[in-house]
Amino acid sequence: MPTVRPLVLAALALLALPGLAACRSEGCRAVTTDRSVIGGTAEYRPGSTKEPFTLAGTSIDSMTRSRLVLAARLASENEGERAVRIELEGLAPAPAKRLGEGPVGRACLVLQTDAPPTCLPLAGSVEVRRLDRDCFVHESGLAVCAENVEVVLHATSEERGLSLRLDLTADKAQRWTDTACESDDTLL
Amino acid sequence: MSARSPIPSQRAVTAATLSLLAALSSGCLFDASSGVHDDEDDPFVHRAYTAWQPLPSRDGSALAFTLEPRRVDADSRGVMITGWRGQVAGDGVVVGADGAPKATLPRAFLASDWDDDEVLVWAAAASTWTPVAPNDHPPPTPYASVTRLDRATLAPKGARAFDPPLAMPHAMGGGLVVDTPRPGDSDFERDVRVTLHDLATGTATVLHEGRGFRVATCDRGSAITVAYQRGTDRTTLVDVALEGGAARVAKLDRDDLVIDALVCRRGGHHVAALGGRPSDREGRALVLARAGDTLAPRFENSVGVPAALSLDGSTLLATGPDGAPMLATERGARAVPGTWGAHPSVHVSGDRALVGSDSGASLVRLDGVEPSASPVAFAADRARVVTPTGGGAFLAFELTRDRDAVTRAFVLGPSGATADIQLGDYQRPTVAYADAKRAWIVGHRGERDVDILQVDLEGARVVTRTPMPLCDRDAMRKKDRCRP
Repeated sequence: MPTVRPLVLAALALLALPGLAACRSEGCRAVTTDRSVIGGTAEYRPGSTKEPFTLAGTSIDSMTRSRLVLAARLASENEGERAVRIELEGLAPAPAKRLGEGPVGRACLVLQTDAPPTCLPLAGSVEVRRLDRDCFVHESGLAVCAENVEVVLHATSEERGLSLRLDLTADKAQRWTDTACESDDTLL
Repeated sequence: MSARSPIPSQRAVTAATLSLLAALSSGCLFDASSGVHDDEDDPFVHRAYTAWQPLPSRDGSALAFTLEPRRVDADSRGVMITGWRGQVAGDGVVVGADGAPKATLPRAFLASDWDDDEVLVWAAAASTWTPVAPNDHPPPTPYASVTRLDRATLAPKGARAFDPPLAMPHAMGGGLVVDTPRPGDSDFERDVRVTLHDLATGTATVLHEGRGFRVATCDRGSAITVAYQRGTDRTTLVDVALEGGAARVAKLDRDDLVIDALVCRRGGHHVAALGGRPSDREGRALVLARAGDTLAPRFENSVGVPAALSLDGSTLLATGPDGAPMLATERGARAVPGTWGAHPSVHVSGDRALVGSDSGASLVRLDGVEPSASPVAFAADRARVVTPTGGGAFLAFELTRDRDAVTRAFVLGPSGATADIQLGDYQRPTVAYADAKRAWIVGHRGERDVDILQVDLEGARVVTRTPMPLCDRDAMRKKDRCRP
């Protein structure tokens, strides 16, 4: 995730966005979120335990018009938690498509103590009903975006004796608070 | 083996950023062409610091250091930082505490280890990493070579490369090294190989091969125990003891036991395996004795981590089923007066264990007398850093809650008596080396100065105070080297 230099983030929140509004697109600094839900189930079975890890939390980590990254937290009763980053690329609005035939998917998680995350290839299907993003980008790099996501993922991974199953639906609907922003051709 | 990195403080807001803020606060910056640019001299986005390792002489009277120049640079777009790139910026060097150069080391992440004969400086098979946060250390990587220094004089006496690199080498004395898997959890089954390396001849002898998940190790000096989980509920313990330059291996398999940690003492003949029984999820500790070619259980009980073993291996201080401290012996387990409190930690020195928690600290005897715990007075609103110095004594720091400034330094003796040390105005102290007589402490003074303090622990006084020989920032940034 991009970061901003210390103190600058807070200062920009106070100064930059009103600054944007003062210069041109009045109101294009705020979006309204109508829905933001990731539903479904997930199960992870490492080789080291008989106890499965199940879905304990999810969020949309980042997105573009062809890429969606989900962050999932999988927990077991006695074996702790695993953070999984689900990366889907090559996406375009379409009925369900097999992963590997256009869209590709992988699940990245730490498999060993102190090791960097390992990305496991996903097999299955992904259906993209909607994946778009309108952003107002300031030259500083800060952006305000209205994001809309409707993606259904059914995927598994069987690698190195590990088993991962994901059945997730990401549903996020946002719009500009000021509807005039929708037609502003300065939006990216 | 761990990297130590005095990281200079960072100037958080650059002049360019302030310019941006000033412009934005006036309302508009769309046509501004100045904006923020990444100045090569900006110490926030272009960082340079020295990672160091201590190299103590045999009697601890002299200390040298490895210095490893590191650079961390931001990938920036305007004020946005999208990532960081880290690298070792030049060859490492060995310097004395006075800064005099002694040897050149490979351009790699460095780690140090020592036995009675030698100090070993390990160079990793990597020199770049991708920090998530700019102060993140490099991830562990295998070791591709070692530079050997004489333990008495700290003079270089040769080097050896390894192909393939070693995962987790342990110096065992006599120019011998045992390589084990890196301890920790694994979600997938991995190779578990224990190999003896002779640094003089370059020969490698595989002592044990298996496959498993979680690995724990405990190094007793001239012996080492490796435990690994097989399947979902079994454990294999492999004990390697070096006698007369030869390795003797003992092995023990246990069903219905998964290991969390191994606890042992340097020079000892016992190891405590602490873990749990998958069948009933009960904490379980097994104290094993190494004799000849056998590794045999001496006693076991339903206790778990944190734990400490007495010097003779007859007493295990550990955590009982209700979370209270217990002393387990062949005769059973007895409660130690008091409680662990939240977030307990155990430091062991001689036959004393210093048990600390959020609610206080106690000194617990491990030498066979009745269970007893003497309270140790630490200031309640201070963070603590404790270093065992041997013989039942400890060197302790009390720090401000942000773990920055030292508010008190003292020696805690085996009787519980304390002797304060007038350390001076230092921040972020690190004990580079300590034994029963002396300690070498690296401490920050102000924004940029770092000192090495030699402390006489018997007299509780600072003997010498000299500037720490660090790499030069400009040389790291502009010449890819540690020194100008």
